[in-house]
Amino acid sequence: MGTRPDIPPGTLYMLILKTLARLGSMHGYGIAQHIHQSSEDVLQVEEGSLYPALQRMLIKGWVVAEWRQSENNRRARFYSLTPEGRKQLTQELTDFDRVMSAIVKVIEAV
Amino acid sequence: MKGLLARLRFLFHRNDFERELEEELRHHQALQSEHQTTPLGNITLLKEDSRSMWTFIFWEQLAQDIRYGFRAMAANKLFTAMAVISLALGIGANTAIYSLMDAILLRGLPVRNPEELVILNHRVKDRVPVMQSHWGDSYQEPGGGQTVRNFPWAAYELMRDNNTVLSSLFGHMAVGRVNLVTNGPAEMAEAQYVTGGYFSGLGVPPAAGRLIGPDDDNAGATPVAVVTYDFWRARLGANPSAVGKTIRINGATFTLAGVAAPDFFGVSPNQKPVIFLPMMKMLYGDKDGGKDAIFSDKHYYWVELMGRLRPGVTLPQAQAGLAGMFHNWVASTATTQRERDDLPSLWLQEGGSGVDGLRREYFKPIWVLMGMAGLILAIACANIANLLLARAASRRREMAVRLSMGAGRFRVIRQLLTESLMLAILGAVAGAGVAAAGIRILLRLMTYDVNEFTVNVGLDWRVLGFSLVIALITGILFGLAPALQATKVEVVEALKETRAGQPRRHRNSFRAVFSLRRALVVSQIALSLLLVAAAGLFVRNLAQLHSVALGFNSEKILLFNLDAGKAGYSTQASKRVYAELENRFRALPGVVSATSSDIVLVGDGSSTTGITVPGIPKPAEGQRGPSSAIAQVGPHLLRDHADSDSAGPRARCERRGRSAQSRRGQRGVRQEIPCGHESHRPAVPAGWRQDGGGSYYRRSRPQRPL
Repeated sequence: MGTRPDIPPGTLYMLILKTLARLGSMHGYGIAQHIHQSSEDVLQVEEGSLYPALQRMLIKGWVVAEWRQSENNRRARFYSLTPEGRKQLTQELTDFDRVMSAIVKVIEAV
Repeated sequence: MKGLLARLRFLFHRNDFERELEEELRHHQALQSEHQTTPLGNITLLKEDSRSMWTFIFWEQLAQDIRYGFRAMAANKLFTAMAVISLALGIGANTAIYSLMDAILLRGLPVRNPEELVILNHRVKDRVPVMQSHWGDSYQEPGGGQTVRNFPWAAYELMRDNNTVLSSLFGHMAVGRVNLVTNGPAEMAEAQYVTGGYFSGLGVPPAAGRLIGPDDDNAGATPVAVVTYDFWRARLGANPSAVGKTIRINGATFTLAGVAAPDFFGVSPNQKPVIFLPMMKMLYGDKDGGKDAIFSDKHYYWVELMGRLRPGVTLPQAQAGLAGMFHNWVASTATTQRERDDLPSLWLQEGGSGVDGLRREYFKPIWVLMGMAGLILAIACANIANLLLARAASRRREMAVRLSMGAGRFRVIRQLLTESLMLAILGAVAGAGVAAAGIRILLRLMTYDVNEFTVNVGLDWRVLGFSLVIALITGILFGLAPALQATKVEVVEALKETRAGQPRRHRNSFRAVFSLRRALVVSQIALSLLLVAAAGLFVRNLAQLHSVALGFNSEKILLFNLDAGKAGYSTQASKRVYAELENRFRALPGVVSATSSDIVLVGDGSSTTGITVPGIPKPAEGQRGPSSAIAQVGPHLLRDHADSDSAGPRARCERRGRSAQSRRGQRGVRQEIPCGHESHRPAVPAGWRQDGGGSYYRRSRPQRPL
């Protein structure tokens, strides 16, 4: 099976927020799938971290949830962003860019 | 804030949450199985993790753990009882004994800067010739010789006036019991003579009136007395107007000058004087030879001395300063070569915890007890460890079930830890009870023949805490090890076990646990054996003490003390009183006989005096002749107390000297033994009657079983 790289700590929220920003509203499985596919099968979100993270985001008010029929007629809980969630996403992206470019600088400096 | 509100709301919609989460996860699972990816895994754990986002999870789980712990305890009552009892005994015994040790050996006197106080002692070989008379206690030193802390008055005056190392030097002396009349019937009270510097040197303030001061050292001063705060409160109603009243002590008139500060009980925790009198107002009868003798005789050692170090002076410096002075003085009092060859040498001892008759006496027994209590705690801990290990083995199946149902490992470990801690806390609470009861029992054992015993023993919370920590550590270590072990269980295998707790031989880790258990059992048995053997020795010792042949029948004897002399009766009148009392007692129905003695047989003192025996030549000047412990007794004492096989009076005298040999009078023959040397003997203080002359020794108390 091989080792799968872990999602860097602290970035899961950002990934979920970004996914929801792109897809509008989606259920948990869809979110995990989307992250998996758009990362070209590199990132795999474990259910054990996905659902607790979603609950945490509900508490923080970044997302809201509603029960709807899914595309194949199953009842599913769909999550979507709140304005606060959008703000949080911008914030996290900015922070991530700064950290990332800093890391790149460190790595590429010979 | 918003988060908190959301969580509070969650508390009320918990069931909805559970249902929705469950459904959501099923949805996920369904989609997943359609897409042929990995199975969802541990749904319960996932649910728990998701749920934990919403709750005050730590406290809720703690409450759950505790509830579950209680259920586990109730389910296994024997285990719980064993664990709690062994912990309670271990913690309780340690706390009780250490509290006692602290009170007896370590705690300071309730005075100002007790660490500055020093006690003056001198060390003598067996018996120093220059010390021709001694009134006080002496202690055998382990290395031979003995320590005496009584000095002649002249030595005190010299050191008090000339030393440069002490800011004050003061003397005291126990009077024994006096007849005290304050405002009602006479009572017997323990009294103490003190010099004028006593209270100021100790730094004890008055609670009312004034205390005995330097002016009271003048021979012409009005006789005054100071009482303890407790006595003032109990007998005088804490009435300030009691100060200035006239009281009578052994028939003599004193003025009550003041009351000492609360808590002050003197300098010796095993004497509890209630009244303090100036040294110069010593009570004695004129018949005893006059006051000058006791204060002027340079060979009579009687006053006990304490001093307070000057600031910056250390104990060795003070000792160097005083020892030379005392040595020169004592050398000047030696008149013969024999006396010069064997002089006492002064040494200082820290006095912060008081004059330590009690401490010396109980030092060793308490250390022995302390050691045994430590062993008991060790056994208790080993016991607990063993019980926990045994239980962990038997709960493997339970652990496996919990893990298979999705319990987190940390959660399971925490559960076991919580149970261990609950046991330790229960044990500690019970241990506090055992300690409190133990202190009372020990005090009773130690004091059954000491009337006044001022050791203020409270439960020592630090020790209780210490024992508790040890118990907690044991609980955690031995609760944790099997917990870690148990959570490593191969779930399926453990579930397949037909019987719960069946050990599996092929697992190394489990073999390690079992060999640990075996080691614990072995050490427990070894320690217990040690304790049992020691206890056996003590019991045997006790039995032998009870079966010592006393030479008389000790059954059905009632004892009491009285002293007509102290009530002001003359010697002649006292004799008439005693004779009359004897007659009246004899006339009582049920009384077989009654008699009197100045010393209680096999009691805690004896009076030794020189004797001359016809046929033995008188000793040369400066030599000691034969001496004997003498009791002055009323008629019938020997007859009434004698064993059947030794009926009749028996005179026995011992010859002290190079060849200590004893001669016995023939049975049934009265042998006249004249008592006393011709040489001058000083007066003895009140409380000791002396008719024949001679020196008085009060030995340290006979050994009591403990």
